[in-house]
Formats: sequence, structure tokens, C-alpha cells
Amino acid sequence: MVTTETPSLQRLECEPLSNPQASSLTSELLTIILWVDDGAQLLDQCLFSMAGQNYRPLELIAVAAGRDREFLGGMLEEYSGLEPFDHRVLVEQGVGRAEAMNAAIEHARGQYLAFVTADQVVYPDHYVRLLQELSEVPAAWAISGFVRAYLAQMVRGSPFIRWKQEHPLREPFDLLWFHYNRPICSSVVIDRTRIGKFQLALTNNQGPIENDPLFFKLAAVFEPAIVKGIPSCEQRMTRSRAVLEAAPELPNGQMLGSARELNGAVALRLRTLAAVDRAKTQLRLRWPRLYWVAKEISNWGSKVVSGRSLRDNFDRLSRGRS
Amino acid sequence: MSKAIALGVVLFNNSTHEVCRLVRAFTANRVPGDVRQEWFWWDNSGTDRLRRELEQTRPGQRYWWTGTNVGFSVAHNRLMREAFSRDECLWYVCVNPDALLHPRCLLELIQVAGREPRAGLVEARLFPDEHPKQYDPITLKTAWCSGCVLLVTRALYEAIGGFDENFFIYCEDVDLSWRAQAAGFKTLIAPAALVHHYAQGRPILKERELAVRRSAAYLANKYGATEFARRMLTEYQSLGGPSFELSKLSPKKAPHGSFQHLLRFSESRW
Repeated sequence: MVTTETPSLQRLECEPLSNPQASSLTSELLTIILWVDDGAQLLDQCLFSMAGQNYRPLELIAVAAGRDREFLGGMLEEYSGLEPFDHRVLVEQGVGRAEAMNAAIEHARGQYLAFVTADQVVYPDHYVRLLQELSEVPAAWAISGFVRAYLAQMVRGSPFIRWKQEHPLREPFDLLWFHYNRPICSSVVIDRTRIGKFQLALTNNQGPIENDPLFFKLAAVFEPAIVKGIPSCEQRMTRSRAVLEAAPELPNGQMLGSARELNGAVALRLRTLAAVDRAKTQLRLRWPRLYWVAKEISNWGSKVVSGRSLRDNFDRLSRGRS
Repeated sequence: MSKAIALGVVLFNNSTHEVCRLVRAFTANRVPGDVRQEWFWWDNSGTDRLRRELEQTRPGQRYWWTGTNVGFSVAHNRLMREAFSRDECLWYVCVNPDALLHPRCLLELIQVAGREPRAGLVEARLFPDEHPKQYDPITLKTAWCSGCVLLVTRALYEAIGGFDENFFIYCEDVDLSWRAQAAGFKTLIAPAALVHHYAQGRPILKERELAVRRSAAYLANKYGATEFARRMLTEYQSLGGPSFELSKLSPKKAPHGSFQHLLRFSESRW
């Protein structure tokens, strides 16, 4: 039996550190870096969700690959007209995603930094809640729960959402859980005045941005502030992203080596649960009737064997209680 | 003859910021070249403070204020009567003052209403967290239309009138949808007509909870769902609502199973 009342992977446990370059940042300003790839069908909705943000001052830097500056600039102009915010377009030709995003980080003026991709939408009070949490605790970054919305199809250019799945955050913050569940990138806000000399730079050009080692390193070094309650940002799972990608291997490195061995059993359990969750999602999307039948049978079996519902058993297992 | 679309807003103690934001969204909205936008405001607030704000954003606006809160249904009915009294007005759109319309919202509503024969009501899609009720992505039919941003066609208004004024606020949109369907009209959603409106994060207010239950009890009583009406009434009274009697009505017919889904009144997608 494995019990993990304490976090399952040891972090370095750095306290927030003052950043020597903090004086060059604009206090209270939130810079959101938006990655727009070639096939961003949902960009319009992402930008509309930005216009509806309750947090100000806000700066949006759209980083584009292959789109022309006028097209994006025109869209940003239109949406910032509804509820004014600063915006810029950065078109980086002939470089990978990581390099383009890092250029945007260099341009960002805000004390606070957030990332979003064109297939995500953010609920109106999302950044207000994250920054409120950051103002109350001395953390270097904050994170909220998130939602994955599975799209059946695009009908006349508009997505039809078949199903949504909420992913609230578990407490206390668990680095290994974070690694295997990879909250979407818009669920995170970083206070750049509190990260010392920590290097904010992406390195991955492929796969979801949240799989970039940057986020795991940040989580490994600094304890986040956790925003409880209703998840407030959403990933639109289009056909190209319909299959949830498994988290990458744990990063190599001396600092994590011993912890990884110590926590091998916990890691195996979390990895297995994440795989089961992915399989369940696929079953529900592809054969919904079969999913409901299987769920009913499993639930009945679970109650007969343990006296608890399947959900209860799943929750207990993911928290390390048998 | 030129065509007009009337946008009707019922205000109640809204902030200047909300009203200015709504005016910006109206201004940014595109409509077909031969359609004119007309704005109608009914203010249920205790003072007419917003009259001045509106005058500053765009002079000569049609604004009514009586100093009493007549409720959502009555206020919209008065605006609808005013709007449809002009022959060129083909559509009336109820707009919640705390909503933010997408720049193509009105255009999409008009297109869906124009494409479907016997279209009675067309709702905008709530964004970013849309209502989970089921709709057909091809025919765009939906069990009922939300009143947040709701287009009412002239044909429907002439056939059945506006909202039932016994609803002060909440559930009047469900009732109007069911009455529209009973009269042979379609209730539709325009999926690309987005309206930024988020209610999940709102604090739970006793007044709102009471108003929802009172309206739901009246709705259930009207459609003969006695058990659901009793349940809503019990909840209403346990929240401390002043007692009221549900009058005996000859029950209308609600779509099958609507009350099984509780206050969603329709099957959910999630």
C-alpha cells in the first residue's frame, strides 16, 4: 500500500526570490503571450475571451508563425475596441516555436507573465483570481484548475462541444501529479519579480506548450499558489488534439534522480491512472453508449466488492489511499 | 422598405462601465447593409442616473424610466411593443446589460432567423462557458432559448405576443420557447453568434435564488408539473421567501421530460 499524504516528489523548495531585473518591469501589468500556429481555427474565440477579461492593465503579445501581421493586427484591433488593452504582433519567420516565444518573453513588459494558445479560452475572472491569490501569498507563480472541451466537429465555422471535463487542482500541490497531468498553459501566471535568476525560456518546438520542460522546472523550484474553486480556463480539443498526449519522461538531472527512485511506486501509480483517464476519455468520445454501459457495470461491481462507488475508489487511489 | 433590428436592454442598477461596454459592442456589430440598428433602453433602477450616461455615448437614445422595478418580462414587453409598432422592425433582440456581444453576433442571429422558415426565437451562444443544454448542430434546433441575447421574430410576436408577465425574472425565456413551439415556431441557436456572459463566478445571492425558485414553481404549475412545483416552493420557503399561492391553471403542455432535468429543462451534454 502506498500512502502519500505528503507530496510524492520532493521539490527544491526555493522561497520566492527577488529578480535583479525587476525594476525594468511594469508593476501590475499582466503580459499574455499568445501562440498562434498555422491552423488556428479557434483564434477568434480566444481573442474574444481576452476582450472579456476583467483584469487590467493587460498587454497581449500575439506570436505568429506564417500568418501575416496585418491579419492578426486587424483582429487584435477589433477586439481591443470592445474593452481596451495593449497589443502587439510578433511575426518570427524561419524560427521554431520556442525561439519565437522566447523573443516575445524578451518583449514582455509586465510584472506578471502568462501564456495561452489560440485553441484555448479564458473565463473573465481567471487572471483576477490568479493574481489575487499571488497577492495574498508569497509565491512565485499561481495555478488554477482547467477544463478540456471535446469538439465533435466544426459546423459552419463554429465548434460543437460534445463534452467538457473539469480538471480541478489537487491539494497539496504534488509535483509528480503536475508532471503526469500537465495543466494547460493558460492555467499558469508567473510573477517575474519573484523568480530570482530563474531562466524563463521554452525549448520545445513540438507538442503542447504545457509539455515544455519550462513548466516542470518552474514547479520543481517554486511552490505555486493554488486557486481553488471552479476551473476558469479551457482547452478546445480539436481533432488534431483529440488524443491526449502522455506526459513526457521525467527530466533527467541529478536533483531529481534520487527522488525519482524513491517515488518509483507513486510514479507508476500516477502514470497508470493518467493512462486510464486517457483511455476513458477516448472510449467516451468514440463509443459513448459502450462507455456508459461499461461505467454502469464497473460502478455496480465496485459497490459490490468495496461498498464504494467507482469514483470514490478512483479518487482514493489517486490520493494514495487504498 | 428599409429593415430594422431593435436591440432592447432592461437596465437595473448597472455600472457606467457595463453600459459603455455594451454601447461599444453595439457600435462594433455589423449588420447587413439594408438593416438599421435601433436601441431601446428600459431602466428599472431607482434613479435615472444612466439616462445621462447614455446620452453622452450617443445622443437621442430611446430611454424609459418610471422609478419602479417592473421586472424583466414587463419591461421587455413594453420595449417590444414599441419596437414592433414600426413596420420596418423585423426583429427584436433582448440583450442583457452585462453581456458583451461578439462583433458578428447580430449578423449571425439575423442569418439563422432568415434561413429557417417558421423561425420564432434565435438565441446567441453563451461564451466562454456555454450552457450545456443539447442542440442539433445541423438543424440548430434547441429545446429552449436563453433570454440573455435572444432574437424574437415579428411573426412570432404577432402570433403569441411577448413574455408571460407573471414571471418577474427568470424562466420567462423557457416559457416563451415552449409557447413558440406549441404555436408551430422553431426555437433555434446561432452557434457563431457569441455573447460573452459568465454567471458561474457570481456570488450566490439570496434574492436571486429566491427569484429563480419562485419563477420555476410558477412555470411548473403552468405546465402541470405538480411535483416539481411543490419542490421549488419548498426550497423557496426554506430559503425564507415570503409565502405565495400557486393559482389553479389549466395546464399547458411542456416538451416531454423537461422537468426531469431540473432547472436546466433539457438534456445536458455534460
